Amino acid sequence: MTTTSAVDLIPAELVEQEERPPSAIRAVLQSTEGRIGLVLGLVVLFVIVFGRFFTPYRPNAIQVGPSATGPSWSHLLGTDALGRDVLSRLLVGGGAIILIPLVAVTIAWVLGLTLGMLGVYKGGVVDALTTRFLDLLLTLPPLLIVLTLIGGAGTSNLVLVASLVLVYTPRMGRIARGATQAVITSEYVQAAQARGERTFAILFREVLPNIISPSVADYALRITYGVIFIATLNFLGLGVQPPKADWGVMIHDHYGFFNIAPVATLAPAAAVALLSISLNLIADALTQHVTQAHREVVPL
Amino acid sequence: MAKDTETSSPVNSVSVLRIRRGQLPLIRSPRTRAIVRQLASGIATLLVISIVVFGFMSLRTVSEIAHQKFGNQITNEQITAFAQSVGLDKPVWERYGIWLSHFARGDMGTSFVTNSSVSENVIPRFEKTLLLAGLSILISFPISVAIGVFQARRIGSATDLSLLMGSVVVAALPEFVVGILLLFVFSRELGWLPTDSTALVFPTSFKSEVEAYALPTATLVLAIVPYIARIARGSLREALTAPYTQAAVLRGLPRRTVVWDHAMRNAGVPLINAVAINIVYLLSGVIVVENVFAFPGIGQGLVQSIQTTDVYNVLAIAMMMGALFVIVSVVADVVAAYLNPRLKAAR
Amino acid sequence: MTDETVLDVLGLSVGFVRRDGSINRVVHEVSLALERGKILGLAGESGCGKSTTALAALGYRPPGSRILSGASRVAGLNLLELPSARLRAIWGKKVAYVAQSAALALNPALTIGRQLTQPLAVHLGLRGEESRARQLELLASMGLPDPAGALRRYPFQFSGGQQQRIALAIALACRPDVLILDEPTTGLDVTTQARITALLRSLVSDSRIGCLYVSHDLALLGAFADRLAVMYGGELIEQGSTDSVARRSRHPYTHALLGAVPSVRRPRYVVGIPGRPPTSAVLGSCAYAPRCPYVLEECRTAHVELHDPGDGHVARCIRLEEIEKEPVAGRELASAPGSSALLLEVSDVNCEYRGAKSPAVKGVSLVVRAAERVGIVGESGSGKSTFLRAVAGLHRPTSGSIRLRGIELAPLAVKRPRPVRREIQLVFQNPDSSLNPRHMIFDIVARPIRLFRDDITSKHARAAVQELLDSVKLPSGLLYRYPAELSGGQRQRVALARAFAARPSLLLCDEVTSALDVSVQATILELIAELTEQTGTAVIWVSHDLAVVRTVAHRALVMREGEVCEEGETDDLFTAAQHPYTKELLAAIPELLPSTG
Repeated sequence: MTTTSAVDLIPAELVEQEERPPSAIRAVLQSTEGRIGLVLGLVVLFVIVFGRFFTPYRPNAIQVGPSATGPSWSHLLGTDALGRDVLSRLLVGGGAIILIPLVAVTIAWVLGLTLGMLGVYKGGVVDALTTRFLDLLLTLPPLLIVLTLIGGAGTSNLVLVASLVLVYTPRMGRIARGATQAVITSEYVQAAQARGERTFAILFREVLPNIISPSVADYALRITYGVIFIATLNFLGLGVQPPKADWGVMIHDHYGFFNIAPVATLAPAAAVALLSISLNLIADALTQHVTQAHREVVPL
Repeated sequence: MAKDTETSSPVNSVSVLRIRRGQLPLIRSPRTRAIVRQLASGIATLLVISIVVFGFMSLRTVSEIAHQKFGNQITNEQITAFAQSVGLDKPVWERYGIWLSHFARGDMGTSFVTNSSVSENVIPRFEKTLLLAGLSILISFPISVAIGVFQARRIGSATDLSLLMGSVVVAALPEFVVGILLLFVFSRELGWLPTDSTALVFPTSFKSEVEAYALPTATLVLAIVPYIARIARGSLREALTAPYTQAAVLRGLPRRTVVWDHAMRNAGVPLINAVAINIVYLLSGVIVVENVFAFPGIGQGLVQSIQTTDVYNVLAIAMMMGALFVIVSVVADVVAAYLNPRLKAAR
Repeated sequence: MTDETVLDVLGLSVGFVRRDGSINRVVHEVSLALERGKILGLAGESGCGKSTTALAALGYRPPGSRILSGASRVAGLNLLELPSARLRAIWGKKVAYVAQSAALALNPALTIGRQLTQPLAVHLGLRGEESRARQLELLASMGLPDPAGALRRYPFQFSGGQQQRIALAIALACRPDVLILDEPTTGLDVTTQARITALLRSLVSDSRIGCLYVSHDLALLGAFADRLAVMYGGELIEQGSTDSVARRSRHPYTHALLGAVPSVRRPRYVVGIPGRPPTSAVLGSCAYAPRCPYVLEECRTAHVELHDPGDGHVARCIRLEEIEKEPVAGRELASAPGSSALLLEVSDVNCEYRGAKSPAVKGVSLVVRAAERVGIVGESGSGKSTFLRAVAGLHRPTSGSIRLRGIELAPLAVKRPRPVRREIQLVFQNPDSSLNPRHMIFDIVARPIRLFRDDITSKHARAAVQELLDSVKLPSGLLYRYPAELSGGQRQRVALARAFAARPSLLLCDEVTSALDVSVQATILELIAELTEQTGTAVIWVSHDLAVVRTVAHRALVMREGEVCEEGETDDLFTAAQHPYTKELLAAIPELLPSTG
């Protein structure tokens, strides 16, 4: 016996069965976007790591071909303004764009987690001061601050990493705070306190396993932001400097010749886009998984 | 650039400085008091920004600045003379104090790099950037909300999921990549639009001005829409699956009332808050977009000034951006208060 | 079906769609009828399908659900076959629904006036002055002070009880014939609950409404419903007049349930039901067979129909005539006489929360002797939990002293010496958060062993943990599982095992069974009594439920707004209360009709 259409405002969602939720990695592997992201990401990573073994020309060698030409059989992606082979430069140009964010985000993550957890747990003056300080840092427009730091201190890798750490620590700290706050009043934490366990033991044994999921999703997300950030800085000429072969720098170098030989600009742009898209898909799959647990269907 | 997709408990970044209640006895209405408090907090924020920017920029030594300006042949005596003439020989805090006292009175100073008035440089740029940013938000917001609502009504369907993945892909593209792609398609291939916005420096006709704004605006819109649509979708979805929505349905209320009066009202607040947070990133995006299109706004001005260590220009631009951000935050808070009765009720 | 029937549900079956597309049948062939001026109580424990039935009877299909068969008739129309537009005309006007939590069901962003105006305008076309007059009348009839002011206010400005009254007002605004309520008083204080049910009773009678009241609280329904229907495993297993069902229940499950409900008047007679209820309808046999002490072979092989002896009291049991004659199970929970050794001495403790207007605990003193069970009763805000946390070392009192065996204790647990921390153990209320979801059961129970039991080496830890799990009657094979894989009752047992692992001399229990179904609660109560007697552990039992305290404790304190109102042996306290507040509490408790027999 059937029924007429329901008066739902949202279409019928499937009710989840009672099961242990799959681990994060499996969730990513099971989702479409996760899979696409992983495949794409692995391809791009392969190019970044091993590309240097496949370069037809030396990446920094100038005048290996005529200046600013389009794709041809001897130069599959053409040449740039200085006659350098675009394909070769493309194959070695991804390093900085992935490494600098990786290092910086990892540092920011550890710092943010520690500050976030400690702040919430200790409460009182310490927490108030830390939050006030972090909030302050959050009000500063990131690109502005980073640009001025670079303007003052130069474009070395150290400065780039430091500026990313500066921008991301408060944000990751805030996420860690939020996650910790949700957990800190749980009864199992109180049970541990009643047993007389010490602060660090409680934070690492009881709290951390329960905030690791959103924290890891945040980590993945920040890496994607970091990649975009560094690529943009390189494009503006305020990050990695020429003559280094870097995708952002390649676009910066070639900008004036865009009309003549667009491929030399489009190719690295596409490379950045692919890297970013793959990382974003993975991060999004992770984030969806993390918020899945709290997804609510209209209650009965 | 990096953006925040968090909607819950946003930092009310303007209220960093919390003024105690008793300090404003002359103002009666709690709502006015709240606004005044936020403005004061905003000014504090601007001060902090100025200190940070000034501090960072001052890391560059005088000799480095002089070399940048005059080339490598300059002698040490010439450097010292230059420093004295523009006041760079004074200690950092003194320079800051002087700048602050002038700026507070509206005098943005003179650039020691270009030797021209900062305000003459910055203000026209600011107007253009304001227009660009304003246009972008005005166009993005309704589009994003419409997409978000469209998706929320069809949550879990194939349309929804493909739109979602599409938005992840578009959001993943750095602004400069989007800009370059648009340039490639619309300027180089189709020839409909100019390759950059330099026409704005000396505009010849209204049409050329509009054309100059077109691609930068389109780029920014493409950058913002995925984020806000995502937030709108999530926010509306929460409202649509909330118990009070079910209760409203069971009271036999018509669909339109339930969606707009019950659900959207509750969905609006986190949305406004999220938009306010993302304004910060919009400003970052503006900087990038302006440089892609050689758009003569404060973003391009900022990058140029930084490359030449033009401190006063940088400061003026930073202050303008900060002020913009403060104003938007205050407006967002006011709108949120209007929508959310908990904030409206007497505190 | 008579002229007085306003809602007629016949053979209703509801299912949910699983991920793989198959249907999970959660309600099977339920039939019930509501009559004017009468309240039908629909009782059952979690997962029995009562809430789903209530919603489906309206024709409402929550996302993922399907109506599999049946009809639900109001004024001649079958709600299950009407298109959305027609249903919307009936919802709110002829049929009204009140959800469990008013706080959630009222839109936080709209004023009360606005929320009342809408149904009045949509269904009755009332606007302006007429509408306002009706709104004021409604709020006044619900007993809300200052109706005019209330119209301008928002839900969050009202207390829980008031919010529920407002929800009732909205539901009754258009004078419906049918009112369906789903656990409307859960979470409210017992005195508030009493007032609201009294209000409901009079409204239903005066306005001649047919009312369906869904609840897990059998005692509550027994006290004010006219007829009672009990559900188990998605089916109606018994239905009849309240008097008949409560005094002469004809189904083993109802029977067992009645035996599991703690009563203030029948102290210490509580028996749990072993096993777990099914999660979906069982069609090939009697759903209760696995747990039934009266089970026959035929019960396991064929589905049992509802048997009707002809007096309107039906039951889904082959042996219903015999069951009717059985007395309700009652076992005396073994009670050890308290020894005279003084264990805990709390003197004049005061506790505060930063920013709160008045102290949470004001000058409370308590003495607990070895092996004694002391109950602390109070409504929300009474300070009982805060007091317990102070004893546990989780909350620093602003003044007063706590002594264990004569030794003064440091206010915070982390500063107390290890032997002291071992002696005092804590069990919490919420099974969802008392165990760390990321730890395996083994780790959870082994932790106190590692911390406090020097007599058990890590080699023997596993055996020790298994022994503890056995003592709380958990099935084997749970050592390496995670809390999410266990039911609420099982998780509380793990929490108990964890507490006993340290061999405490004092067990602090904070609303330990409040989140559990009645039958599960009874099992836990039995277990605690058994374990504490075996080990000679003293217990401080905090609860808002007086009946439970009566069942568990030798002595009890009644707290209100931070102070102790009355104290004494539970027998004296509950039968001959002195303090007016205690009397008020006792009067508010719904009492099932006493089952003699």
